[in-house]
Amino acid sequence: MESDDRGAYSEPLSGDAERRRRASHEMRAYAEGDDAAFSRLYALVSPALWGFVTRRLDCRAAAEDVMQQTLLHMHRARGRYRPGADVYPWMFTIAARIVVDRHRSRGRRPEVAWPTEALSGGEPDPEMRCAAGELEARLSSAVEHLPERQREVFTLVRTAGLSHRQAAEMLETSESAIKSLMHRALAALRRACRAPGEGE
Amino acid sequence: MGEADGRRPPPLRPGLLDEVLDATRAEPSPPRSVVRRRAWGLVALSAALAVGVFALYGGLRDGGAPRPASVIAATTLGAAGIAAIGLWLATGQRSMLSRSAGVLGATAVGVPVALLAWKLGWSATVAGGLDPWSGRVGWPCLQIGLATGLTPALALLLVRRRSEPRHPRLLGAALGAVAGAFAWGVTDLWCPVGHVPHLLLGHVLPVVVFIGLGALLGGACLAVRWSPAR
Repeated sequence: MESDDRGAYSEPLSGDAERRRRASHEMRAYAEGDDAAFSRLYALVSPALWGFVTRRLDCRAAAEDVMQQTLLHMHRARGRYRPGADVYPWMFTIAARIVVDRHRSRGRRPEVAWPTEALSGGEPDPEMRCAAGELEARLSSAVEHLPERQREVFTLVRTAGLSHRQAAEMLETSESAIKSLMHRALAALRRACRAPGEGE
Repeated sequence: MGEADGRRPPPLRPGLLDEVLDATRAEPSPPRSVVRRRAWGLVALSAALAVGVFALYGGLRDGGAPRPASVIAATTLGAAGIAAIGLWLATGQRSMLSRSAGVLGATAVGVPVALLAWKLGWSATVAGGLDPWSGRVGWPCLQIGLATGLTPALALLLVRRRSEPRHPRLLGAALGAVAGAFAWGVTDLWCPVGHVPHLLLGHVLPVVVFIGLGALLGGACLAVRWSPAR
């Protein structure tokens, strides 16, 4: 078992070109009948997928459920996999659809929320109070307050590591629109992350 | 967005991979070679059933004779070409994601329009090709179209089942249009009539039926859904 427990935030290159190439390679091997390739694929994609679903769901059980079902859908589609196709936009689109469908089916009933220690990454740690931690908290809050479209683009590009082209494909818009949304999101985050009293 | 939004995600549970692997073992999924073999089997079955229906209605002997062979070939091959282009537009991309809603919608709308235009264009080249035929309202053509298009429509939906996370209804409609175009080609081999009301009832209506059926079944069987049972 090679799952990466560090989470998507500490792995900014979770969707970088090399990782994506390897994920496509493993998915192709799986499609061609190599059952062991699925575990290798899981090791490659699970950190980014976990980061993606935990940003959208209220509790661990729900996030694990969506993650499992996303991977199960990929497994079901193994025989239709197109060699060379990028796994990440496909995987995130499936996950996003399952999240929406899950919300709809459950009527958005509240679920048990993440325990506080899980959100902060473990036991309360004095280091979390340092400047970097405060900055991260401010950044996180700012991300949460971004307009929905900007937040979606920011999550796909920065958290999930998709390229502008892939994010455009997934959100069915143009690459220039993605760049523009990303530019606005970054400008808003920069403003929000300035310390109080800090000038332009 | 959940409560975890914008914060460091909690660690991934180590046992999750085993649970996912158990779930995949409980639901075996065939590799590409098997899927491809099955898809070709469905194509062969659809073709065989189409030939059977065509023969049942008398083949070329009943209706095809008054037209020049070149017109029969052009209209039938044209329908086959439109079906092939429609299939490519609906499913031919390199990505695992479907085409955009605009392309799928244009395919569903464009296929019957292109088929009708192609048929009318070629019928107009024959003297009296657009004239009404006494007693040929279009019901047998409607029956042939529905009978020959049903298998490819179901086969296309079966091959793509539970795989479309974005536009299942539109993809279903586009695949229905492709199946309808296939049926149109078979009907066209049999029927020489180029009169517009006849074409609308006997030739266009089956395509529209398959587009509607595809949209209806697409929402139910093509869509990627959350399963509460798991």
